[in-house]
Amino acid sequence: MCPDGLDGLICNAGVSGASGNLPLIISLNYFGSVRLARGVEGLLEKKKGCCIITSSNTISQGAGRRDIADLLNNIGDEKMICEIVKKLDAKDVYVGNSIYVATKYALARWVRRVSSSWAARGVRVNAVAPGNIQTPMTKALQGSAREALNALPIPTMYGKESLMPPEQIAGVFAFLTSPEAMGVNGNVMFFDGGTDALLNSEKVY
Amino acid sequence: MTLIEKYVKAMQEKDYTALAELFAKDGTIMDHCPNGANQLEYHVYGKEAIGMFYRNKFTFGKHSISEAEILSESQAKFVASYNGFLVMAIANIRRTTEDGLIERLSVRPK
Repeated sequence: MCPDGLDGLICNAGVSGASGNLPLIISLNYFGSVRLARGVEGLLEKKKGCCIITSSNTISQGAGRRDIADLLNNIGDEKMICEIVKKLDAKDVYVGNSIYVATKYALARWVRRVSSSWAARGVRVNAVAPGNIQTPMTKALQGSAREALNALPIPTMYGKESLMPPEQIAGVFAFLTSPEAMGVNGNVMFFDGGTDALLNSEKVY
Repeated sequence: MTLIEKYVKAMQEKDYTALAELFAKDGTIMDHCPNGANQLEYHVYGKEAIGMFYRNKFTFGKHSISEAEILSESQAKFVASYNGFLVMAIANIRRTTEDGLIERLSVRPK
């Protein structure tokens, strides 16, 4: 596969906290992305390509299980961590969300940790932290999950009671993979219409 | 009803729309109370932002007030909850426009 190398990799696959399957959230969201990126690292080096990992703007909202994120980043034992989360209440939407956010936090931190050495080898790696985008995942949310979604403000969509269209975020990925983004590395780029700036204005750095 | 009474009512009823309507276009809320709870202060600029911000806080149960008492035409005291951490607070309307909208409101620990 691509013996001459890869120009770019975007790791975007994930399931929401409402999936009801906590081990799947762990395995797909975190290990799926990290293993894929590590697996093609050599191919990215050949072409001096770049890697983008999809995190989430929910990482700044305080609902994630930081202990699970620490296990993901610092221990990285998928089987053990899946066994741990199996004991939690998968039917509780807040539990599911806390595990989802943990995986996205861990992904963002993984990006920051590996970005220096990868860049030294010619491969930039960044994370994009999207806010609420119109996707099959967000479209499927109902009830309290839908209510929670609507209460997350998107200043650039003010008054529209709508999520951001996916074509808007496509531009961010195109930029990060372009030569214009040569100096952007190890960044967690929030693409959320200003949600994080509104809710956490004092967190400048 | 005075402006401070309307503010207290909107906060008690978690009516973020009514709350935002009390403010001028560039009105601001500065709430320093979360500091005591090891949380970030609220600095919310602009009427639309106030509506969005408090919709979020009220919907997720992260902020509320109770035991409110009007102290003057521009001041009220109440118990404010920040993610369950209680603070005795004083709200002060510091500046209003000529047409009676809030330009600047601050909330501080009592």
